Amino acid sequence: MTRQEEIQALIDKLRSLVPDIIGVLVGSSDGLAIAQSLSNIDGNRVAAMAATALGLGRRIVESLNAGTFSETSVTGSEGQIFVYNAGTKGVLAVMVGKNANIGLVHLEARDIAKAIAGVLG
Amino acid sequence: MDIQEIRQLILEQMPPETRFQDSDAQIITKHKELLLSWQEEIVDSFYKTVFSHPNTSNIFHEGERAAREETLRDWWKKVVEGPIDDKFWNWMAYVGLVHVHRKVKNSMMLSMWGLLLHRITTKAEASLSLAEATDLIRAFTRFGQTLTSLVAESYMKGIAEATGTSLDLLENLAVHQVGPELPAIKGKL
Repeated sequence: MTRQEEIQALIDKLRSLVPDIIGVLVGSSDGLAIAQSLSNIDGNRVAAMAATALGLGRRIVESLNAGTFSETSVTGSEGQIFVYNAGTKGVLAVMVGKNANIGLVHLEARDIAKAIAGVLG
Repeated sequence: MDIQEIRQLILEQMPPETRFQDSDAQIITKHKELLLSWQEEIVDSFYKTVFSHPNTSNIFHEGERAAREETLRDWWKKVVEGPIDDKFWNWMAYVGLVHVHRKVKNSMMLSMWGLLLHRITTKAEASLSLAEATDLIRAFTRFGQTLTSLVAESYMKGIAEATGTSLDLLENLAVHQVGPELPAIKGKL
């Protein structure tokens, strides 16, 4: 199994564990899409936005002496986007609708982010 | 931020024939005494212009002008006396980061370089033969192309990296954002 296939399998696993999720993307920390499960959204654009949020999040955490960056989120009236640190090289973006079970999303997505970090090395 | 790496990356983006060359340095050295004699006029015209425009004069603190004039005097002396080497260009890339800190916009930097080049051109044409003036103006044109590329690009890199991202990443993000908007923007021209 290639690295991309391993990551795609982890994305599929996350979607099957949390049906509330409406989109998932794994990108590199420099903004390139690696694998995704999205509909009607440009993956390259999401990858660039996720990496930007990751970089800004890391800088905020670093500037405020808040330890190691792990995740950040953006909330809109119709949904939320969670951006998880996936090691030094990757980022996991998870999109959900407005009534999603956020606790379950975090529970599973954090584990998947760690697994992705392991795959990316 | 590794300033040497920044300098190298920016210079590599420029077509070689547009960069400052050894032959340009030789031309400047040839006219060293003449160019040094222009120092006060160059410094004076530069800061007279900067301080006569609110957007550029607001960059400076009260009582700072004398110190900044001295810095420009030193810079001109360094340009004329050389060597204009990697260390010099590292300094110019560093200036881009200083501009981030001082909120000196690229439009201000580029327009003020234009003013300096105009001053150099006018004085060269008045002091030298046509052939010598042309060579000197060409040398300073390539000098300016290198200088302004370094300052402008390191300014952009400085802003991007200070926010925890990078210029490459922001460009990537902007490509996806700007592309679809271009037709609508063009329609409003």
